[in-house]
Amino acid sequence: MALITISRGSFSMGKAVAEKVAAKLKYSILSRDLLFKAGDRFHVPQKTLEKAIHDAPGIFERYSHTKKIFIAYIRATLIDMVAGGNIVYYGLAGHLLLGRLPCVLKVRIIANLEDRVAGRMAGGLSEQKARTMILADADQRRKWTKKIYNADPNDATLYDIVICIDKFSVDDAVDFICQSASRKAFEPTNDCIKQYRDLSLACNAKALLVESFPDVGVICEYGNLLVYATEKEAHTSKFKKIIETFQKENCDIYNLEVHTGLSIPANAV
Amino acid sequence: MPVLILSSENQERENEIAQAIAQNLEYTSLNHEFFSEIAHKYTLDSKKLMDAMNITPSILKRMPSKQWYYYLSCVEAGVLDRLLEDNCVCWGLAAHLYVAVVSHVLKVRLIGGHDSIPRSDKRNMTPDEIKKIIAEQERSRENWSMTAYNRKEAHPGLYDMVINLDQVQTDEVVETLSTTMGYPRLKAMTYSINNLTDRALAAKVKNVLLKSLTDVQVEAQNGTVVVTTTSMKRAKSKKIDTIKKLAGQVDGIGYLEVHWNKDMLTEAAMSYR
Repeated sequence: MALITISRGSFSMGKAVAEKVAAKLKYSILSRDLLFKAGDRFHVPQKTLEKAIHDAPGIFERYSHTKKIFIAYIRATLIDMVAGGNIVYYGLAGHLLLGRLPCVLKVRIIANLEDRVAGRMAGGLSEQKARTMILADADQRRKWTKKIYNADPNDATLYDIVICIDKFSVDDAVDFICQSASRKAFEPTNDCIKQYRDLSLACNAKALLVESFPDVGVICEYGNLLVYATEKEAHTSKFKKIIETFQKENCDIYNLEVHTGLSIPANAV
Repeated sequence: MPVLILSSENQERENEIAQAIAQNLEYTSLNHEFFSEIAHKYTLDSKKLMDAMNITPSILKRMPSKQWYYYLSCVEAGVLDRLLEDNCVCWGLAAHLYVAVVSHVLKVRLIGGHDSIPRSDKRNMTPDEIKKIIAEQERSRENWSMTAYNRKEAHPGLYDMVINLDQVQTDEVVETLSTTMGYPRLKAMTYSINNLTDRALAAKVKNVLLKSLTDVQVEAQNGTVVVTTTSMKRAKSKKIDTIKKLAGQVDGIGYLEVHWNKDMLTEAAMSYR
């Protein structure tokens, strides 16, 4: 069940670290495959999903909920893909999409700008262009995180460890992460497995509802699924049909309640 | 030999971890107890020195800006001088803010691990009150570090490693950091020792100058000290002479260079008189 998410800026050696960690711990590695799978499952082009998880919402997207819909698809797919555990995920926003789940070691790799620029230049770009691209990319990530999760990617409290790769070699960072992952706090427990199942149910329910009802909130606790919607939404036949089908298809759901007129709790999906 | 600098808002756990690492590796400890030594060395009021490390300059708090910067320079000079001895674990002296990139110095930030409010005080507080106090403490620390060194203390880019204590035990952190200190990359090299020596020299010169002057920035490289200062044009030669005279008292300077900038604001204000 152990899971490691590695967040990094472009050209911060995060990919190399993730691959070595996965090889050392004999874990599977996951990054772009997530978008392929989410695209296949929800019939959305991979490019669209990539844009949704990378670029900050534009002026029109703020009102059309498209980002919200695609992120719900990506999140539901990610939760299902990591359910088996023993995975290193180094794609975008893993530390945010997997939320407050236990047993997830959230790592951030940082590097100084000059080394990142040099890395980008190795691809044949001029220094100025390389610098502009790296800064623009970091700016998009900062705006995306701020708009979607109201957080700052540079906030160290979002992670369990932040490693500055300049001071260490890739192998040192790998050793450090592997050592941390073997700690007791990241060992899978029954409670941890239950929380995964609950989050998976909540995310999948949200993914089904989000296209027609983007403001719906879903929580799942011990198999009890609570859906927060407005009075108007809850009484539409489409809403009822989705909920009924979802309940029939998922035998893990112990009880399903629809709450109307209540404010959505902060921990809702 | 490597130096470990720890920084945290949770002083209780920081102390515990730092002391355990120092004991584990048989390193010397450099912590808030060093303030009394600094106060004695520079003949300062130790209570005021402690205050200077926590508050920003304010007339109302009886800490004028000039005095505040001088007190900070005393701590900086004292700590950097001691760090040259190597094999040291340093915490509680804001060293992470003035020891920049030195390859044999590992800077670690410890975050989380509950919060910095003592358990006895927390009993009578609601969670909202606790959150408010923590946010206020964080804001005040950020304000202090920005005013003193123009750096955000909580920014992860300032450290080589940030460890969240929420999910790990103290002994696990101690073990991990003790192992990390043995990495070959953290061994002291001639270049990194020279780098730290230059910083210590610059801090000493700055300390001597700030005793009587303001608006001075000091840098050092391979024993060459560059002092940059700002003043009105009519005070230029007097200020440069004073800097040369005062800095000349410090041992270890190979060559001294003074760069002068015109204080445009004061010049403009005076021209209306």
